[in-house]
Amino acid sequence: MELPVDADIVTLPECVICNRKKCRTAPVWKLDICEYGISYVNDGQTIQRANASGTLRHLAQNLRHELNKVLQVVVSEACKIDPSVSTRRIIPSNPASKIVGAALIIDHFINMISGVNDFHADPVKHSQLGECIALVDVVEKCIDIYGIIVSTHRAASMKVQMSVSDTIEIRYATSIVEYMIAVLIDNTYKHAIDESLVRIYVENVRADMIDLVFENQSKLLQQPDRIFAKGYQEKKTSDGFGFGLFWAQILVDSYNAGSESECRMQLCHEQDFLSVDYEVGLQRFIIRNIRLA
Amino acid sequence: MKITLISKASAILTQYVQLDIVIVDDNSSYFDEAMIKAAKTHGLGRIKRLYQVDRSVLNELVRNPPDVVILDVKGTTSEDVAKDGLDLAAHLFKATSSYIVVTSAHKHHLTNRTVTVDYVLEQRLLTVVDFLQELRKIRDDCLSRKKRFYQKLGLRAALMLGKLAVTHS
Repeated sequence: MELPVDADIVTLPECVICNRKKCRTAPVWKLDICEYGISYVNDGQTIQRANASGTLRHLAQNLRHELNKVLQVVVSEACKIDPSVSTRRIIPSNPASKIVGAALIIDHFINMISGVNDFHADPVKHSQLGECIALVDVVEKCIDIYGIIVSTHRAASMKVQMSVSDTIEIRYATSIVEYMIAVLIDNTYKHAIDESLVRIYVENVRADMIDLVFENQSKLLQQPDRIFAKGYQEKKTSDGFGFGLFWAQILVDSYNAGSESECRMQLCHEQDFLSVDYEVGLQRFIIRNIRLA
Repeated sequence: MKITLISKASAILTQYVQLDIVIVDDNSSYFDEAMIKAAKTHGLGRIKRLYQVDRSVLNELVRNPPDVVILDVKGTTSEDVAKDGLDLAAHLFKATSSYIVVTSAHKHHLTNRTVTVDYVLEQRLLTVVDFLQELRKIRDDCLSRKKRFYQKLGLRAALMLGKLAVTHS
């Protein structure tokens, strides 16, 4: 059994591409390729791996490296229009702020669409050098940012009821939490019934952790158990390709991989019936066990 | 008038302790002229903008360490100096008393790797307002952790000016 001729063969005890490491349980001497494009074979003692010529990781790094500076140009030019704009808070009625918001959406998508596999870091504990951020600021920013996108497939407006105290702060893996919230907010805009009530609140508050709940009203899901499956779309005409919630689960893996806590983060979904004719459902997405600062 | 000026000087000195800041980033889109000008206007530091660290710059940073060094991770070091900005940051952290800050577009790599620095500037896309906010945080943390005597020196000068104002009133 041989690996490809142009393969860059490495033999390392640990692969840093993903946390699941399904390759470890591969039958001996059975050549296979994982979902990240890495071909591997178990020789009975170690896992021999060969990177594909253009892995998702390479694409992600290049895209992020090349486009981030362009996005900074966009942000800098927006500052010339209005020097008071900030990436911390987007004001949709301010054109310069909207430009900054659009740049942030692209930045989010670059990190998620092309780079989400990059979150499969080796199990080094997440640095504690990050700043404390109020969770409510992250949620409000994402609501404002993703409200910029206007489409017939998205809710034009939602009544957002937020009950997240500004004293709730996060410090651990704040980027990952922000991306997860961005996915859930964007998902809400895509599927919530126009003008319906969206509730965002905290429950199960403990000394060091909380659960964050996103509740919206949408068309009833026929296969709610598949909602996190890769490429799953309830309706084929919906905005997107059905990858957002799948990626959010990968972010959960990454969050847990670097965490010392035994209490693992989870992303859960529940559906309740709202209308008598079973057409409208109440969707609850819960991020469980977010660590507090 | 003179007393008012002295009082104002005292207040300003107390509030703004000027730091020497060196920013190294190979791309001029980041930490651009508008940001640096705004930082200087707000008294947040004497800022020197560099684009790469070679051997002579490194020697200068070690010989005359600035108060704060802000480093981009990628593309800011020559091969004979360090592998990347993170290695350079670790070296400066050990060899000098400078307050070391790193930043990168690949920000989760910063938080996924053990980095020996004082502060990680996670948000890469910054407006002028964001940059000033970050500088204030860096200034306050630097003064409290690494530059206590500057703060005391500034306060003594501020008190002296304050006394002068009272004496002459």
